[in-house]
Amino acid sequence: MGHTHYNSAFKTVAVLMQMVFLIVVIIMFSLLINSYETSMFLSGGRGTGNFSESGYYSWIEAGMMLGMLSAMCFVLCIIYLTLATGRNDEDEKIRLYRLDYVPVEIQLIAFLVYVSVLFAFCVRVGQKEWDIASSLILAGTLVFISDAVLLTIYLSLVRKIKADIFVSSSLLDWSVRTIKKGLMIQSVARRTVIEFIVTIATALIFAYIAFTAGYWWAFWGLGIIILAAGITLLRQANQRTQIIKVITEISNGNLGYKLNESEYNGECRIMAEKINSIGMGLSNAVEENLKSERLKTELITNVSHDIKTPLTSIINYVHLIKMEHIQNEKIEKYVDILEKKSLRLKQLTEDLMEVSKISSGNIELDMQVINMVELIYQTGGEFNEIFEDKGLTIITRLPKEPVMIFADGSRLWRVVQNLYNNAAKYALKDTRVYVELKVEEGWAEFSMKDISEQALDVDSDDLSQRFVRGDESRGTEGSGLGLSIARSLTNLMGGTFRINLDGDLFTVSIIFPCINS
Amino acid sequence: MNRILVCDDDKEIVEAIEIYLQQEGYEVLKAYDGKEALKILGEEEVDLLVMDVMMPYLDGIRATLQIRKSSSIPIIMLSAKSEDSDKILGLNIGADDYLTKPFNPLELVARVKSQLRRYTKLGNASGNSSVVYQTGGLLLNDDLKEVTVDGEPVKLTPIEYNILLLLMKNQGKVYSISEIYKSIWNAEAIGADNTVAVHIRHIREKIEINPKEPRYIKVVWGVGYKVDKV
Repeated sequence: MGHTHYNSAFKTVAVLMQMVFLIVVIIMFSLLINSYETSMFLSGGRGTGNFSESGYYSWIEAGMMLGMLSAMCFVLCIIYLTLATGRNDEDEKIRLYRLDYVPVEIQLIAFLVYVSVLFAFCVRVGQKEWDIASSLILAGTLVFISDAVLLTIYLSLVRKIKADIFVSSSLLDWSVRTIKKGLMIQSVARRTVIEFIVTIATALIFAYIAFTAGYWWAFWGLGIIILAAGITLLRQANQRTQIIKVITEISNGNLGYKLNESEYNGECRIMAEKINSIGMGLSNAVEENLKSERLKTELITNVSHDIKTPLTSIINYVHLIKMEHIQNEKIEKYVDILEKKSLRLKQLTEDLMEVSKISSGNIELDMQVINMVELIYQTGGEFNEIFEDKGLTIITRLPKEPVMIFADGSRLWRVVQNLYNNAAKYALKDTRVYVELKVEEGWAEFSMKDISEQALDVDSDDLSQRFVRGDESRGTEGSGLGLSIARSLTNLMGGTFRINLDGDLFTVSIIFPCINS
Repeated sequence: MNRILVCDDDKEIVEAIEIYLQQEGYEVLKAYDGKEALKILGEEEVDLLVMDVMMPYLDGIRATLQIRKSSSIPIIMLSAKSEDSDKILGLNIGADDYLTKPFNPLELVARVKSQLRRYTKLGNASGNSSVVYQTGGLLLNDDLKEVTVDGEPVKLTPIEYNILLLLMKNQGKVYSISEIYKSIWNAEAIGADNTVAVHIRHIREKIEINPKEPRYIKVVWGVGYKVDKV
């Protein structure tokens, strides 16, 4: 049908016409059903059966025809209204009335209420005697009202379907949505409890029905619930296992691991999403950090190179002044200071470069199986005269048999060298320095104890930070980087570095796992 | 009199080196970049070249590559780059020695002397005795019980000599402290002393220009000591 046929005038006419046709149909058929009484009525209401047979049949024929025709017209009107309702000539939109937003369940209930009232009314009315005219009027009125109610509800349903709000406006859908929303807001724990209770309750109801009444569908229901619960548990366990696997990988430093979020549901999906974002954040942070450390190293390397060139001239010319043998005590003293400080500056630039390289992980380790006892003897041989000059006595306690560890020999020498240097610089004169190597339960612990010359009022953790020295005055030699380098190198090689301060007793230890040879 | 070409883009450094070398009686030629050095080498007779790595126009690495195409003159490289990889690069492309800035001027002079001695004298030093062990400029003659470094005799104590002999005989092999102890003292190492390590250090102090960066006796930390074949 074209657009022009949907205007309200047409619709009103159609409504009225279907009403008229319906009433005609009803009247015709009720007349036909009660044809005997009707014929009596039509023939003047007189007594029993002497009216003409042919008149009777011709009336039935005409009544049948009229009824059928009206019924067809009625159906056509209804079809037209079904198509036309909600539509409009102006646009394609479906027009809805306020009634259409009433949930279908309520409409249904209202209709049922109406039907029962009608029924009750009809029962009442049926107890009395009515003459034909009155019953016709009564029937007509009832049909008129019923038709109006039915048509209203029917057309409303049609419009709901047309506008696609039949489901969404229903009470059932609303309650399902409300429950879902409620569940989403609930905490995981409470939700689990609710799910558990609902499942158990349903299962119990099914079980009760199945075992007391013995209905087969209850058995099926029970089976399905048990199966569904089993599958759900299994699936969740599976997903959790996956998630734990990825978390373990990430915590082991494999930040590239990712979960495929679409494989998960419920809280597992939320977990998967969060884990992915944590992993992303971590790997970004690590990358940033590495980048900035690398930049720092580059900067420090460049600056060191730039410092070294003028420093070369300073050292060389200071030395040339010294070679002039100027007979002036003051100048000799000054030149000595210049020489010492320029050498310290040299040491400082070298240490600084080393520290920045280590902390940015820019060094390559040559890890090998080495003998810690051998290394300590070697180091001791390098240092014995330096210690003797300061009046320090080294007491070395090493195991007779080799202690094999996995480390980079020259880096470990650097670590031990720094510890010995540290003792040589900061230990109190004429005291003993204890060097010890112990093996306990597969761990080799090298420790060095000395009495500090200066009172140490720093935290033991701070001592191995860059540039921190026990005296804080920075008057003596040393860059303050020695322990920091030692700690970083030890950690890089997989060892543990520890500093302990007990009054003036300074203990430093490095611990490596032993290798059984 | 030996002529030495000093090449560095920092004029003060060149001048300082000139003073030190002149005090030792060398004649010094000066250049301030690689191109200039190549030009002087082409025109003059030069016995040794001291050259910086980072220079404008032509850096020390490329200049060395060029020089090595036609000459075997000793080259000592100077550089502010102290990475092992930089040293290895320098030595691999043909430099004979590598010194990092800032350097001790006396060490530079010692290295210059060492290189010149080897270049001029060492060529005919070996071969006349059957029990001579040699690595680089280090020579040990077991017949005469004599050790020379770049032709200069070195005085060692008997124990030091025996340790060096052990290492020189088996160049490249790493000896642990207890192995050295056993073969020198003919006794089991009792442990808990630094004797061997101290002796090694003393030997290094006598035969090395810079004992902290030994050329001949190498320490393999946590394993032992060795003398490398050169």
